[in-house]
Amino acid sequence: MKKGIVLLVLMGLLGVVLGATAQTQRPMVTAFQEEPDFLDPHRTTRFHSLVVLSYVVEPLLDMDPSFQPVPLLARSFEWSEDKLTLVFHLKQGVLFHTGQEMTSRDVKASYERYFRLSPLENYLGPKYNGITEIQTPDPYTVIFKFATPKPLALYHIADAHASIMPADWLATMPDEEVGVKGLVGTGPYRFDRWIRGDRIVMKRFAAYNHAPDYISNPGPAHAEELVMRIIPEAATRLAEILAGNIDYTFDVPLMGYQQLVANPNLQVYMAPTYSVQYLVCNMKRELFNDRRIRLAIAHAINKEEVVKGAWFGIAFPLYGLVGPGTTGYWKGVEEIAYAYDPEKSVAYLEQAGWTAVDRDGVRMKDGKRLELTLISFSNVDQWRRAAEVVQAQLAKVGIKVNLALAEVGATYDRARAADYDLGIFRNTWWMGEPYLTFLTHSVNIGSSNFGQWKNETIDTLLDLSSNALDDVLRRDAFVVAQAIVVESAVWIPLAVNVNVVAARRDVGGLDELFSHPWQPPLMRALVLYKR
Amino acid sequence: MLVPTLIGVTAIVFSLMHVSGDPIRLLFGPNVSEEKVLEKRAELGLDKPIHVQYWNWLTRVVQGDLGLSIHVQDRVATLILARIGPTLELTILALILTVVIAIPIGIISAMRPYTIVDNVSRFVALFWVSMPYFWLGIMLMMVFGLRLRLLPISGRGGPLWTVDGLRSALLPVLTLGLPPIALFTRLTRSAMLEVINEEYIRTARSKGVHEVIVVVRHALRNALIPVVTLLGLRLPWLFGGAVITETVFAWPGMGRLLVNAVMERDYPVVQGIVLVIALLTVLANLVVDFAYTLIDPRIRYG
Repeated sequence: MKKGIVLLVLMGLLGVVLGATAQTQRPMVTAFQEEPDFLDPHRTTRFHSLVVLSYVVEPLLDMDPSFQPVPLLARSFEWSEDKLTLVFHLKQGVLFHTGQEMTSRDVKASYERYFRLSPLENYLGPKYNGITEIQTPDPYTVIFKFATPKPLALYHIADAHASIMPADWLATMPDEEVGVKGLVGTGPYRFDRWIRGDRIVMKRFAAYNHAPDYISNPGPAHAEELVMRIIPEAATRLAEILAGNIDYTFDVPLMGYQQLVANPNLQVYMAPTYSVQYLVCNMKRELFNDRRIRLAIAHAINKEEVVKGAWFGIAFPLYGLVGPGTTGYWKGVEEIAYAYDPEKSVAYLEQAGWTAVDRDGVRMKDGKRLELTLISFSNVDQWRRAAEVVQAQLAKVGIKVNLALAEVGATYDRARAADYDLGIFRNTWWMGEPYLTFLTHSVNIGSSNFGQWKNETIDTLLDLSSNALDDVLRRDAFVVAQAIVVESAVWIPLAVNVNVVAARRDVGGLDELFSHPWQPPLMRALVLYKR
Repeated sequence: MLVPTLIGVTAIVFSLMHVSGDPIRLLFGPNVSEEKVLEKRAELGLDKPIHVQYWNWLTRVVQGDLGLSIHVQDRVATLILARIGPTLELTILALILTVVIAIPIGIISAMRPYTIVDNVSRFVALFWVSMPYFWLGIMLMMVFGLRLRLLPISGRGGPLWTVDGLRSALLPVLTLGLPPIALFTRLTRSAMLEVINEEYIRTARSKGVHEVIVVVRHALRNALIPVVTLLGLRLPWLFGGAVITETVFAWPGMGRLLVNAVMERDYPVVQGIVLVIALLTVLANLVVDFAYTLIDPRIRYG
C-alpha cells in the first residue's frame, strides 16, 4: 500500500515537471549565435553587439534603403558653403529611457566620448582633422566645426557607433560600465536585463515615436517585450526554430536551410548582406610578383562551386571586393571579374615556366613544386569548407595547397606576420570607402590589408574617394579603385553572405523589413510584429 | 600543497595562453589601426613581459581581486559568480544521478554475477558510456524536446527549485550523468565481488544477519573506498563534460565562459576560472579524504 502511494506521488510529480507549460503571454523571442561583448556603442567593434545595442540607442542620422543618410534624432541638417560647418537641428520632444529630453548637450557629450574611446573612429574626430569643435547654441541646435572638409561625414554620423546617450547619465557612469551595467538611449526598446550566457531582455519604450519616414511604424514597437536568446550551437538553434520557440532569427544554421524552407510553420527570407569573403595572395611572397601566377589562381577558382560547397548554396558569388549590400558598390565588377577558366589558368602557369608536372600532378619549375600554404579559420565551418573547395580547385590546375587552419587568434597572428601564401578572410562593413581602405590601402599593411601590397594608385584613389569634395570625382575614384583591385588578382572575391531570416508564420512585417538592403536593427525593432 | 599546486597550474595556463593570439586584436577585429591596438595594449599592461604580467595578476589575486575581463569589460569575479551556480547545478546533479544509478546496479551485478540481471545491467551501463556527450545531448534534445515536446530544448528556465528550472535541467543532467554510469557500475561490481567472499561476510551470514544488512553495512562500506576515490577524481572530468553540455544546451555556465575566454584570449577570465576549478578539485579531494574516515573508521589523519 505504502509503496503504491509513493509511486503515485512520484508519478504525479513527474507529470507536473513534464507537463508544466508557461501560460503567460510569450514575448517576441529572437536568437543569436554569438553573445555581445558589451553594449557600449562608442567602444564595441563587434557586429552582434552593434545589432543588439541598436535597439536601444540611436545616432543623429540613419541610412534609408537607397543608402542615403536621413534624419533620425536630427530633424534636418545643412552644410556651409565651404563644407567646414555642419548644422544639425534636433527633433524636439525625443525622450531618453530615463524620461529626460534629448538635447544638444547630450549630442556634444556623446560625440566627445565617441572621439575619446572608439577604436573604429578614424575619420570624423579632431585627431583626423575632422570635427574640432562642437557648439550648442541652443538645446535643439548642434554645430560641428571641421578642420578639413569630410565629404563622407554624414555616413559616419549615421553609424550606430556614434549613438547619443544622456550627458548626465554618462557623467555618472565609469566608461567601462556603460553597456555592461546598463544602457540608456532613445531607441524603441529599453535595456532591461542581461543574463550572461543566456539572454538579453528588453522592454518596449512606449514614448518612442520618431522613426525615419521610410519605416511605416513611427513607434512605439509592436512587441512589449523582446528576448534575445544566446544559442551558440547550430543544431540547438535549428531545433529551437523548428519547435517554434524562436519567433525570428537572423542566425540561421545553413545546414538546416532546406529543412526550414520545407517547414509549413515557418517563413524563410534571404537577401545579400555586406559581409564578404575573399581569397588573397600574400604579395610579400616573391612568387606572386609574377602577375601570371595570380591570374592562374583567379581563373582556377569557380565561385559558384565555392558557394555551393562551403555555404550549401546559401550565399552569392562575389565579383568585386565591395559587395552589393555596401555603399558605393559598382556593378561593373561583374563584367571584369576573372571567369572560371581552368584552361586559361594552365596556360598562365605554363607561360610563367611551371610546365613540368610531377607524379602527384603538381606543377614544377627548376625542380621546385608549386606548393602553397593557405591559412583560414578552423572554427567556422563555412571558412573551413571554402578552404577545402579552393584547395581542390587549385589542385586541378596543378597547384598543391596545404591548409593551415587554426582558430581566429592564431590565424590572425600568422596573417599579421605575413606567414602564409594564400588566405581566406572575411570582412563586414556597410560603408564602401572605409571598408575598401581597410582591405587594400597600404596604411593597413600589418593590420587588415592581408594582400600585404602597396599600390600607390589604389592608395590615391581611396584617399580621393574618402576626401574629394567633388561628389562625381569621389564616386569615380571609388569605381576605379574597385576595378583595379579586381584586376590586380591580389584579392580574389569569393562569396557574399546572405542574411537569412527564419520566422514563425505568425510573425508579420518581414516584407517591409526586406525592402531595406541590410534589414537594419531599428527596422527589425519597429516593423516586426506577432499576429 | 594547495598553494604550490594553484601557482603551478595558473602559471602553466598563463604561459600557454600567450603562445598565440592577441586579445586586443581579437577584441577590436581587423579594421582597427595598429596605433589604437598599441594604445589599448599599454592601457591594460599587456605590453609588459609575460612574467611581469603574471606577477601583477598574482599580486592582485592575493589581495582578492581577479581583475577585469578584457573581452566583456566586467569584473572577473562577477562573471564567475554569475556562471558557477548553473555549472555546479549540472555537475552535482549529474554526479548524484551517476551514483544513484551506478552503485545499485553494481551491487546487484555483484550479488548475482554472470546471471541475466548482471549481463543486462552491464550492457545498459556500457550502452551509455559508448555515447559521446555531444551526440547524446543532441539525441536527447531531438527526442524529448523537439519530437515529444516534453522538455525544453535548451536554456536555463530558472533556479533549480522552480518547475521551469527543474524541467530545463533534466536533459543536460542526463547528458552529463549517464555516460559515467558504466565506469562506476563496473568499479562497484568488482569491489563488491572482492569483498563479498571475505571471511567476515561469511561470518555475518552464518550468524544469520539479514542479507540487506550484510550487503549494505558490511560489504558495501568496504567496497566504497575505491568508488569514493574515483568520485573525487571525476570532478575535473565533469567540468570538461560540462563545457560540451553547456554549449549544446545553451546553458549559461562556467564551461561556456571558459571556452569563449580561451577563444578571445581573455587572460584574466581564463586564469580566474582555472583557479576556481583547481580550488574545487582540491576541495573535492579533501571531502573524499574525510569520506574515507566516515566509511572506514580505522582511517585516521594525523
